[in-house]
Amino acid sequence: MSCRKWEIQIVRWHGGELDQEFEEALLRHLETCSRCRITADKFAEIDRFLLESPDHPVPPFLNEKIVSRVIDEMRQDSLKGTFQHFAAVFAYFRPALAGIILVVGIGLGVLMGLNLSHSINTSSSSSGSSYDVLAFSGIEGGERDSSLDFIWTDTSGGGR
Amino acid sequence: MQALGQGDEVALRTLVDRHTPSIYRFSVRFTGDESLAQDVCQEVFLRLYRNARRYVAGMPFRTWLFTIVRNTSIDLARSYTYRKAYSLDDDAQETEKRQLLDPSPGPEERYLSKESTQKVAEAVRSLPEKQRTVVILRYYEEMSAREIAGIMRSTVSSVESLLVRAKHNLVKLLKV
Repeated sequence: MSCRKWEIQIVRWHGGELDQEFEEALLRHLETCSRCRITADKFAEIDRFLLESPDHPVPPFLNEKIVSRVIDEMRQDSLKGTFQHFAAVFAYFRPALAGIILVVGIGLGVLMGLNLSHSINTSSSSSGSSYDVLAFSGIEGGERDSSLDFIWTDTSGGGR
Repeated sequence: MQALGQGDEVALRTLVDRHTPSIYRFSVRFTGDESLAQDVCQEVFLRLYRNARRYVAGMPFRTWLFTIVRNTSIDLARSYTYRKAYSLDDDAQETEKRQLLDPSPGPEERYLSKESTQKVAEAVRSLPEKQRTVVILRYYEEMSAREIAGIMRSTVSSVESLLVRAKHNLVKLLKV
């Protein structure tokens, strides 16, 4: 075994992780190899330095700071969760809502179309081109079922 | 961890009380900055909360925790590097003030112990990141090579050779 590999055994030995068989082999090697013996001494010194280094006490109120910061995030998450719940409900009903809007749109379109076709039919039977009648039937003809009747109807009887 | 994921404040307090000292200890030694270490502690618990649902029951918690602690320390240390340049003077003043208020050891004793302690801390801090992690976890968190390998997603033998290299570097730095 090379000295480099023995160094790993030295580290294990200092950490108390070396079994008896390897420990005996290492001790035999240390008796014969001055380089590894010096390394073992230096490593032991480093261990001492590291273990003597004092501990860092936790500053006061750090725990409270941590708790309040995480709780803030928890609350934000719960608000986000409520919003997401509504968004999920909306997402669930979205196809139905789109269907309703489509049906209402088609319904309105059909109503307008029926009204227009009705106006054209009644006006064309009386006089002029269908477009003139469509635009001016309420003015000239005085007929009540003009194309604009469904929006506005003059009930006063005067003016037009 | 499940309770924490569901927003249980009692579970949070228990975890904070139990693990803050070791997280703080690691990050102070790793970054060498007490205020940064406090930020690391806060960020670690935020990450724990955010990832609580990913935690698999039965998995060694300490390994998982220290994986987060190490990554957070690296991330925050990188983002704080430029800020540190501006606050060096303030830190030195604050440390001096704290030492003057500390009544325990005599001035000479304090000077000597402070000097050697600082030397060791600086030597550890000047080690490459992986070697530093191994040394801190091994000596101050008393973890086995297997546990450290789990945290660093590495093998036991590579952790051991990192430790050997770290010790050689410390020998040079501390002039042993």
